[in-house]
Amino acid sequence: MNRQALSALFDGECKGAELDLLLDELERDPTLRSEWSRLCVARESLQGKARRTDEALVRNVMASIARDAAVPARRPARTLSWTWMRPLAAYSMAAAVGAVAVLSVLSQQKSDTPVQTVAMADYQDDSSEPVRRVAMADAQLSRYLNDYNRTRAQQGMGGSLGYARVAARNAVYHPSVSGN
Amino acid sequence: MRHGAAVALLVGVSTLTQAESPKEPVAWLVEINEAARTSNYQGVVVYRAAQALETMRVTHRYQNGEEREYMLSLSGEPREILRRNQQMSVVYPKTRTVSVESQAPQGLFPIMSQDTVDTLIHNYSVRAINRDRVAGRVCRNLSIRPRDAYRYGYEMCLDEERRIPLRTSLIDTQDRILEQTLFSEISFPAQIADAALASKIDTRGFETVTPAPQAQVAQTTAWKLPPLPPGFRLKLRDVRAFPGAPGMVEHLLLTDGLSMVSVYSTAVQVQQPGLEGLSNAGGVNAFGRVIGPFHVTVVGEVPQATVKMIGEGLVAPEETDE
Repeated sequence: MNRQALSALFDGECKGAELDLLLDELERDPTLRSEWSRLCVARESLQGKARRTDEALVRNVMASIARDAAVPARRPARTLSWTWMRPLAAYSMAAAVGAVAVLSVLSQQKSDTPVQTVAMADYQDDSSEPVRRVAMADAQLSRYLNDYNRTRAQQGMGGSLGYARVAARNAVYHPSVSGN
Repeated sequence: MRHGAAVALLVGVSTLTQAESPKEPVAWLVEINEAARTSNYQGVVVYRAAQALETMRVTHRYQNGEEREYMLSLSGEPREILRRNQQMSVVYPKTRTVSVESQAPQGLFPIMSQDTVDTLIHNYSVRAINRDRVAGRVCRNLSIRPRDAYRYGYEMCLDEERRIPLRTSLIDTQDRILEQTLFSEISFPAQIADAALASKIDTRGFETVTPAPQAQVAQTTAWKLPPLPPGFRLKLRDVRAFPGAPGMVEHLLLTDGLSMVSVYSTAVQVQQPGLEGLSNAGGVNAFGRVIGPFHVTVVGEVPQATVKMIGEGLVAPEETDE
């Protein structure tokens, strides 16, 4: 996979098997994602370049999906962090609606309860704490992360990141837990 | 010596800020919302986190008081997001489903009221730092740095002409970028046709997923919060069901006006133990523990130590009187 293929993806010029392969590779290969990232940054300096329409890209994507459906076992196994997240996708959006509705109502009540605050001297950054892997079947944390990102997207600054996480369905968390 | 250097630094910063009109950067924060809501733009947005990279094509239109947005994923699993004011639909062609919501997130950009900004400047310093170029456009970098180590900072490069953030970064306590969204290309067309905002996928035969009716809000539990970082307040407290999850979940939302921490508590599930200890997803950290009959998970776009401190300090209702 080379830079030309990534560039083609951006332009909606990938077709058929090439598009399929590239989408898979992007999910599995950190080096390729880095390259994609560099390409994106490099393109910051470009402006107003003529591009293929979204329709062309969607047609290619749908064609790729249709082929996948016909041969379901063809795709290689994906990284676990993405796989375990997917079953939640269908209702993660719906789940958020309840959150937003409640949030809207309660925000108007402006509870803004004063709370005791800690002195700075109490704070210790222990981000270097050792970590271990956690079981993947933690759907609960995924729900919370989704809900958090949705709520975040409704709240002021940083909303862009929350929204991007939602849009990118990136509530995937790095499965590391501190050892106890 | 150190004191002198600090004074010199403060004087320098003060001079720089005065030269740039001290209120201007803060005022920009308020302007972003209106600028983003009422602008026509289209481009490609890249979202980057430690182990994730997603690219989305975005088209946004404001016309006759109506806000519409179309997003198409260019990487990862194909999907479309269509938003019309508060109504949002997400199309997943692979699973042949359409998720429809009536209360959508506000969009890609932050929503900052004057009240919010007035509050957050107590815990963050806001200043314009330098000009930059993103997506071929000149933008002004706005630095929002916490005044302590309990929270993260942000940097936004605002389009100098349009005031739209072309790049937003979440910055950790060591000044590293944890997450970033940026436009790799953007344009501001005067007119955007309806067709550009419509789904490009034939959704005939797709299953439509709509949110379940909101469960009746149950009684909240009298959790006792630990001492919180300065500026953090309890903004809301509610109890609700999560689709696909057993039991009710109580949610406490804590915020300083910019950073946000959620505390979720539910009855311990023997067959599905929750998170114990720390975990993270990009810039979001989580800490879980069991407190009496409850499992508590603290989630926040704040340092690990902050979620841990809040989680470890929570006192369950029955423990309060001990």
